[in-house]
Amino acid sequence: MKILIAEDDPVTGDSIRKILAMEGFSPVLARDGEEALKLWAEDRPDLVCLDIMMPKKDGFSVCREIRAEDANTPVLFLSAKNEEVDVVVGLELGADDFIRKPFGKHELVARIRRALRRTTAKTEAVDLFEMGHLKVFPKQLRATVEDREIELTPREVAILKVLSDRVNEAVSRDDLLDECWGMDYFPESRTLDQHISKLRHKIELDPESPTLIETVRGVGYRWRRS
Amino acid sequence: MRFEAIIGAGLLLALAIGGVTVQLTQQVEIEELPRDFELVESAAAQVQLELDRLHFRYVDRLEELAGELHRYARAVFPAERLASKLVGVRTISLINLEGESPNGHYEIRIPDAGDSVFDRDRFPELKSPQAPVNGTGTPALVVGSERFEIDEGDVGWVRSPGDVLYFWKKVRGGVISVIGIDTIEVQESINDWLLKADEMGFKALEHGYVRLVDPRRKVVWANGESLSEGAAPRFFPATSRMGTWQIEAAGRTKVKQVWNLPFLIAGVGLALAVFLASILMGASLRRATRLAEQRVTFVNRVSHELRTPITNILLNTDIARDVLVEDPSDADVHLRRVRDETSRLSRLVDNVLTFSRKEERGHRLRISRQDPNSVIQEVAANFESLFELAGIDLQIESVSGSFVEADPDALSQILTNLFSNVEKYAAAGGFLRIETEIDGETWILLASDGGPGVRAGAREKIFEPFRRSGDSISEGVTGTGLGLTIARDLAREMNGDLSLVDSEQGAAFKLTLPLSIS
Repeated sequence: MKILIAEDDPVTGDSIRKILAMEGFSPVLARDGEEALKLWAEDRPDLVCLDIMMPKKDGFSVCREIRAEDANTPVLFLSAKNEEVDVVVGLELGADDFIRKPFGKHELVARIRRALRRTTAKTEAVDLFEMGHLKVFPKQLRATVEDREIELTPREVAILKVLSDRVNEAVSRDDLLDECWGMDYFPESRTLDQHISKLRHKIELDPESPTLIETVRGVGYRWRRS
Repeated sequence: MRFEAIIGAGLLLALAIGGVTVQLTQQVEIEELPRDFELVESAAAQVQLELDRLHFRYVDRLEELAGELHRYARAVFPAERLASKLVGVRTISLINLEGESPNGHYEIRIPDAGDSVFDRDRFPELKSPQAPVNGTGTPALVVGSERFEIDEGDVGWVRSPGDVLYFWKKVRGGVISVIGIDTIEVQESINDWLLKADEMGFKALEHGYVRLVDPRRKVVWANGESLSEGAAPRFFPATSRMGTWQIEAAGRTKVKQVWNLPFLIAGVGLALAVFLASILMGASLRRATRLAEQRVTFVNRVSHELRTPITNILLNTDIARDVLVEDPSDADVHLRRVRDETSRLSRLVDNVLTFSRKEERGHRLRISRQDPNSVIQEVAANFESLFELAGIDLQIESVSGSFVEADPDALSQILTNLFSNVEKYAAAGGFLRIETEIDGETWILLASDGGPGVRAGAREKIFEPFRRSGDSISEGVTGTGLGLTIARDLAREMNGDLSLVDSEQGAAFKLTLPLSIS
């Protein structure tokens, strides 16, 4: 899931990119408004985060130009300009949310997730796959277990998708790492195990005896359809 | 309230005060110009003479007529014809004093144009004396209910109401002629005469308001001038049995506006004072408002500036926590960023403090012999990772072995502000070059970058507090607008200076400090 970040402060921009990458998004970073529009036209991201005060073209103008062509892609403002009037201008221009600085990782991710969910719910037919008692809504980064809502990261969705596509098959750790982290990224094996453990706590009825993600010793993981 | 509103109110109030003052202090004074009333007086005397002359002539004619009437006592027609030749005659009566009977008694009405006031049916009657007083009673003429004694003389006048006058004359023993006269007709005739007799006099009257009116206040003659404002006419009468004519005359007047000078000066002064006060009030209000606005803007900018490093601290702390177990070296990178951002915060706080301290009581510097290169290296080290991330190449070429008279903290703050400006405004240029040289007893540092430079119109303004090279949000970069103000202040307090110098590309700042000679 591609996210365009336009932020002129190098530290803020780089930190956001890193956080989104860690969450499994595919972030692209623009350092000014013009670059943001160029990357938007090239990459057609699923979501755009805009700083307001940027060189060459401010965030409001960028938002206006994006909205002139595309009414659906969620746009979020990230700004230290915290006066109400700026928030109002941003929202009037068709932004989906306004994240006031300072913010931390969790707020950022939660708001991005919410904006994505709202937009996909609004614009697309529901797209889901089922794994036993679990219903996964990949575009909305969520799943349900017996009417209980679960939030998922794009990486968790990817893991579930791989297991679901290769049902009853033991998927190797390497395959999972390649599919879900990308070939260029070399996380340690432990990273995969940590993610699986976290995911089990979210989706399994009893994480101690998992039914959706089984461990296949020496190979990797498997979902066996019962 | 806005500046314009205060001045407007002040102006209105001043105008009102001025208007009232003018109204109150303005007085109209009417000055009567001198005129020679003697001329008028002599004209009036001429009129009087003429009236007297006419009167005597008229009485002569009446007496003549009365005598003639007796002669024509029995012949009405000739009597009537005779009477109609004399102006004003309306009735003639011949009355026998001896007897009450109307024997030998006749009365004739003389026709007129028909507009006479004369009541032609009112003929006088002669009455015997009622009760003789002291044995000598006199007869009386009775007209209507009025009764007039006929005295001892041979001729006399009886004035009856309604502008009717009776002239009587005892013509022969026991017979009296009574002639009824329409005074208005006589007056008109006199008027005509006076106009014709004008050669005598009053056309030559000096200019000014002059007119002659008859007994009924009808204007016989006027010189065409009207009574001027505020003038009071004087009256010069000429009387006769037919009434009183008079000349009315007045001098010309001059209307003067006079001012109560002290009151006027006081009033106008007050109005001016009110207006000036309103300008001063408005100006001081505007100054105060501008200052307050600047402070609010300043507070907003400071809080805005604080948010970016705080955000970076939060984000990088979160990242460091997430990667700590799995990749401690990556965690270290992010913790270093937390540290850098904390320094950035600290620099900002330093600038704000320095500025407000200076606002309160001025800087307190401790100037001593310093190696400027060590301060440069220290600041460069602080910016290392920030510049790396922003893609700024720091090039330092400095002369060594020289010392300056400076406060190391102040020098560090100046350089920090210059470095920070490059990071904020000129990162796109990709470099910051620091060169130092010696010129006589002066140490010179030149900091040049490859950024967008400073607009021609803003070259001095960038050193004013709360100014930044651009204020629109598309300039992108934020700041408190204090960095260069503080840097220049500090440089000058160390007997040096900071200025923007011409450069082919980007911006170049020149910092000078006195060399330490020992």
